[in-house]
Amino acid sequence: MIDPILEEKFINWYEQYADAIFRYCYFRVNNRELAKELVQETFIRVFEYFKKHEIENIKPFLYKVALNLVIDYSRQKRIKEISLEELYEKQGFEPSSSSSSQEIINNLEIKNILQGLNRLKEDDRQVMMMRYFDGLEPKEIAEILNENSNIISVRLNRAVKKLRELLENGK
Amino acid sequence: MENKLKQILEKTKLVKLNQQEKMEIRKALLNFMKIQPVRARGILRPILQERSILTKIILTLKKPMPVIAIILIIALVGGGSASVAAQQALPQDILYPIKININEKVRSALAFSPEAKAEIEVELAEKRVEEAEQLAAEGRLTKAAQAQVEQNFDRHAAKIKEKIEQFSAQGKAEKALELASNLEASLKAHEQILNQLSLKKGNENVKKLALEVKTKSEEAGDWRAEEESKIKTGVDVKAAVLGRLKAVQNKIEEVEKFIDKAKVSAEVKTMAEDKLKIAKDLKDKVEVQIEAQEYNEAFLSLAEAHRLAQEAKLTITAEQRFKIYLPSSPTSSETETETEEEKTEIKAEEETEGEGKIKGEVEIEKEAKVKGDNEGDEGIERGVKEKINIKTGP
Repeated sequence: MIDPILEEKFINWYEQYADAIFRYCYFRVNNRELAKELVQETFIRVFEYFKKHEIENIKPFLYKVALNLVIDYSRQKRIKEISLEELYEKQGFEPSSSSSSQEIINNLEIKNILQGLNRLKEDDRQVMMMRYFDGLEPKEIAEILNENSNIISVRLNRAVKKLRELLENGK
Repeated sequence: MENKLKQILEKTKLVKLNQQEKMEIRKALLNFMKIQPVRARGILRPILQERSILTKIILTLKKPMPVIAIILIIALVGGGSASVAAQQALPQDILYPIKININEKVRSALAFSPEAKAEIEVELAEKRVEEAEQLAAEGRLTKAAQAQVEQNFDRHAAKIKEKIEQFSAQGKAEKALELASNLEASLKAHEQILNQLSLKKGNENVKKLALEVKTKSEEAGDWRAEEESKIKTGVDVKAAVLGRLKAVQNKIEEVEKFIDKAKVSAEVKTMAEDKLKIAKDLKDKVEVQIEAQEYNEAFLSLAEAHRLAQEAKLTITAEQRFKIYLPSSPTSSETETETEEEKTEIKAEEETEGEGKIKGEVEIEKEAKVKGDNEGDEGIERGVKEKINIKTGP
């Protein structure tokens, strides 16, 4: 028996969160095609759950599923580096001839930060990326990782501090 | 540095699926959902969602009868005795809408696998035909009743067709074939019953109905042939034929048991047994055909064997329900005013010529006659019970 109301609800979730989940996967597996596959798999898994159970808070739920799929994938093939490629492809990131010197410096600094992130411990990098790549609130991160939101806030502060140290020492 | 981190966030937001990628995944998801549609999360959900059921009942009553409606609602809420009574209702009866809108929908909702749902649809389609037969036998098959039955039948048929296509698309070709075959076998057998009824009653509507059922059975036959041709072009034809063979074998065994237990005259029993014998012979032929790799012929024989087995079963139920024979034997031309003693005498005579073991059956038969008029209903009930056993069986 097809339930059109539930199906419509699900498709709306897809429209709303597909890009965010794609972004999440992309910056963690470093491969556009694979990231697309993971997006599809994430939504299929969520749909299979949704067939039988109500989902109250879909956003963290989607991230949780995506996170597990990325972990499964990473177990097979270890991925370390954050992908810079796509960020640089995007307009305004790659310094162009018309860029002002301020812009160039700005971009260099961002590049440094990304490289610094790659050198952080796994746990710290994870929360930093969730916060500054995916734009998730500490409360949301806590829910996805099944942690207390205070712990996440503390971890975030500590990670920012470490990153700053890394960058200053690196210079 | 927090400022720079926020800038990163701005930039990452530009990383997203392009329009085409997003559409492709969306399409893949929709396809997936079509194969695995969202099912009702509880038994009551589909009923509750369909708010119009009570409205439907009230609308179906020709004149607004609020008192009856209210009584029905109370009866439904308070224990479902109306819905039990509704089980035997026929088209144009007041309780009929409850039967098809509530009782049967609950049954369908209780079946979770698509296979079980499909089987229920076949069963319900058959039930619609049986209702029409019942009305015809009672001389109550008006045009309105017929239209109602037909509309409901078409609803089931459309669902069955949908399931056949679904199974076929999922690579469950054998299941699709089985469904189409079941429907066809059942309709063909009913076509026979209706032909007999129309001869007996001489009613124009019955004749028309027989023709309608014929058309429907031919349609189901087309579906069956289509699924067969798909299987024939597939890789594993042999496995598919063997699968069908097994299904037909089960059917024959089921009918054999049914005939064995049935409380009907020895004459009808013999008739059913003869039909089943032909079905068995055909089935044996299939085994030879499979060895000779004549799969086309094997499929044809199987369809025929299945139909005959179903017909053998209906020979019994038709006798129980309407006292008609399938096909009409020479003795069936005798008038209905013939007394029961006379009948027994005739049978007794026949038996002295026949095998001794039939004597036991005469006793059973007498017993059944003592029970009187209820026998018909019991027979139907037995039939229903039998069916339920079969569904839960294999």
